[in-house]
Amino acid sequence: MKTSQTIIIPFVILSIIIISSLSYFFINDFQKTLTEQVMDEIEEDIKIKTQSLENYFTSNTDKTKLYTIFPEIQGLLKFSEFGSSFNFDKNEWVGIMTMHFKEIIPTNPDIAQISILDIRGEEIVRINSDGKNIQAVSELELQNKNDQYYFKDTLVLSQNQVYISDIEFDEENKTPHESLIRFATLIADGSGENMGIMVITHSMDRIISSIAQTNIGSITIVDNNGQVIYDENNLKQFDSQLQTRYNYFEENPLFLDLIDTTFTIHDEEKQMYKFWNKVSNPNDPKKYVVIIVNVSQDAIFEPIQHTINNLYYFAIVFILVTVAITVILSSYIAKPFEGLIEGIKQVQKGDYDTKIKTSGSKEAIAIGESFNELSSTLKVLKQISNKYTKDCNNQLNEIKLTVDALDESMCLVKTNGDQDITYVNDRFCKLSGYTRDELLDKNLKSIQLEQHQQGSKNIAESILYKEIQYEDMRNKRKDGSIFWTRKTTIPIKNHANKIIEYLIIQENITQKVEHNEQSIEIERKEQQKRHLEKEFTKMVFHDIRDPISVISGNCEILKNTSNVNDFTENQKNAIESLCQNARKLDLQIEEMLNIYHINSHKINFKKSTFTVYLLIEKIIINFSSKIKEKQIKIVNDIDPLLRFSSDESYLSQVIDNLIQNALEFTPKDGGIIRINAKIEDQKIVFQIQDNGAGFSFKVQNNLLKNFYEIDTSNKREHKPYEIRIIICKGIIEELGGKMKIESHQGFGSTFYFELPFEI
Amino acid sequence: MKILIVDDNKDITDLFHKFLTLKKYLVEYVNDGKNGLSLMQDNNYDVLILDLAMPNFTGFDVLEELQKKNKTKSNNIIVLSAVPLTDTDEEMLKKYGVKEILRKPMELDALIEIIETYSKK
Repeated sequence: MKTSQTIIIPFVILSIIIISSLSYFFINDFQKTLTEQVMDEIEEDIKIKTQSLENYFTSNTDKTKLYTIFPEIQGLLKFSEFGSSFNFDKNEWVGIMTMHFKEIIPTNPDIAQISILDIRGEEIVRINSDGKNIQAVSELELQNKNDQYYFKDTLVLSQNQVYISDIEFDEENKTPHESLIRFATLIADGSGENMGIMVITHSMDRIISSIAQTNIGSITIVDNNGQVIYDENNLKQFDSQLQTRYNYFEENPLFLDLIDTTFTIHDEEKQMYKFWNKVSNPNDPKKYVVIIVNVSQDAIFEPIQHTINNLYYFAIVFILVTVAITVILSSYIAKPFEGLIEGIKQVQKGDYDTKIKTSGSKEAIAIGESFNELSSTLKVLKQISNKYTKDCNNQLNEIKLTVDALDESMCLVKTNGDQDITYVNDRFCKLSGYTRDELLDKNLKSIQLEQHQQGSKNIAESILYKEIQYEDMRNKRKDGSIFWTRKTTIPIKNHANKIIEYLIIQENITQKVEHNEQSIEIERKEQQKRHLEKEFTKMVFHDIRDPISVISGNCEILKNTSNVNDFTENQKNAIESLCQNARKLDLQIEEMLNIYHINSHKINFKKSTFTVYLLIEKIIINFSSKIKEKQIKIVNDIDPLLRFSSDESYLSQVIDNLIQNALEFTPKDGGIIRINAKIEDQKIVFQIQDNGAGFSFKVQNNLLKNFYEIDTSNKREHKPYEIRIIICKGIIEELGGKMKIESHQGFGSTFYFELPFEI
Repeated sequence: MKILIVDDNKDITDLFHKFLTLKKYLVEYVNDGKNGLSLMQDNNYDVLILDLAMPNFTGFDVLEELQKKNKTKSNNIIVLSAVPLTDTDEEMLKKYGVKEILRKPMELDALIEIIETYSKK
């Protein structure tokens, strides 16, 4: 509601202000206009009245002139001049005149009296009218009016001029006194000589009452003497008690000056307006009548008031309508806000399912739809965040458990950025030999001695641990004893990426280190021993071989001397024997060297690809003499297309040795040695088969068992065939293969060896 | 052809000397690496027979020094070894410009053959 209020109130206030001010000015203006209108009307009215009066004067003047033309009137005057010399019946004449005037008067009901006066002022005839009765007065009542002002004033006029008198009041009769006015004119005979005066006295009541009619205010009619001809308030005319006639000019002295200059005054004190107009006597400008209209302000406003009030009512209605419209509009505008606010409140409470209406103006619909979308999104987000909170809580719990587990199993230390200890767990206390309190007082560096040189990164102590670092540390216990730890330093950073503390896991590796040191020492000693052995062996072989070379060489020299016949048969045999034995010795040493190398896994095989069949053939050729001697057949059953990658020389040695063995045990005459090689399961299997005596089971086992006992320092003597088998096995195993014997006593033996097949 | 034999074993040097002289070659011999080196530097030989396993100054050292002085390419070098050599050793020897590697004991006939091939070139 507040939004609509925020909209309504200013709107309303604004509209009230605007409309009120507009209304005020407008109505004011209107009022003025209306007032002016009224005043104009009054003035207009005055003008009309003025015109009426003027017409009255003018028409009566004309009529007066007209009446003088009656010949009877002239005749009468003549008569009166000459007296009664004629046979003129005055009464008759009077009767005729009376009849005449009787005819005139009904058409001029204002006429109150008509009298004709002769040149001396003597009334000749006087006829009175009260409107109904028209009566000539008797002769006796006739008077001389020569002292009357009107008689005098008329006399000085020229013929055809009509004298209009001041307005007089008939004070003889009842009040209000009738106002009378006399129109008089000279009567001339045909020759132009003035004979007398006719005076027509008019009552002004009628004209005055017609003038006095006014819609607004009251009229006061004043003549040039200040006499109030008419006033609504009779007292202003004549005070019957005091018998005084009210004089307007005396009572309103300023007014006299104003008559000609202005036509309206506004007496603010009395709240009166005065409008007037002067109607001059057309025959005598000194004589005039002023028509005065007095209007109170209220009287002027009264007709207006109604209109003005209507206008005010209208303004109020207008304001109310505006307010109503504003209220409606603003609620229309505010409605979506209200809906939105309501919706938001709901959402704040946690109800994301709340939806607001999407109806009304385009904007309202847009707001509604956006809000609804938003609340749906919020709902989803809330769900996601709930899930994440859950996950986080779970992870936190896991972490907690991990930390607890760590705490249980490892030595934990926490330090600040300067490595002052802030926390230690029980294990570390035990390990370091200090109490918790003692440790909390210490800096970690005070326990550490140095880093273990082996297996650690060389980190200078002055460098801060910016990332997780691993070090092997040598530490000192409280009692001075040494203990080793594998120290993992984990820096904990705050959100500004500043290190606030270190979490240090200390793993006790004291035993390992010591063991390491021992084993390092052992290793070192071993290495040394091996090195010495190697050197020794080299030396031995070298020192043995040189003499043998010399012996062989010299033998050859002996053999090669041109004077071979210088030697006796015995000498020749001796030389031959020397050569052969030297050779044998050399071969023996070669074998021993091989065994030594096999033992120390020092053979460097040179691999080449060769045709197996041809290899075997080469070896067989070496035995050709022996074969002949023993009448034994060596059969090469190998597929001539079979190619194999291996060390030719060492492989040849193996086969050579095995053949030698076979030859030893194969009998003469009918002995066959078969050599074969096949590929099975990515392996090449060689077999050397003889039909000799064979070995017993016991001997077989022994043969294959003893290999790792071969040592140059071994005291047990081996038979040559054993040595050969040992050498073969060693070479085969070095080549990554296996050796096998199948033998039955009396049925011959087959030696198998397999090697990984490569090309 | 002039042949220089370098071997710490006097019997071997005597043997070679006798044998090769019989075959009509000019033979000089020394029993230590350093002397061998100085002889090589001062004189020109067609063939050098060099023993590897010598005390103090081995055949390898001789070869290294010879290579520094750029004398290896112009000579035919035969190397004698009592011990089997690794591939690395053989490669190194080849880099030094060794033409033949012979094992002890070698057949003297084989030696003669090799030398004869050099004399023909």
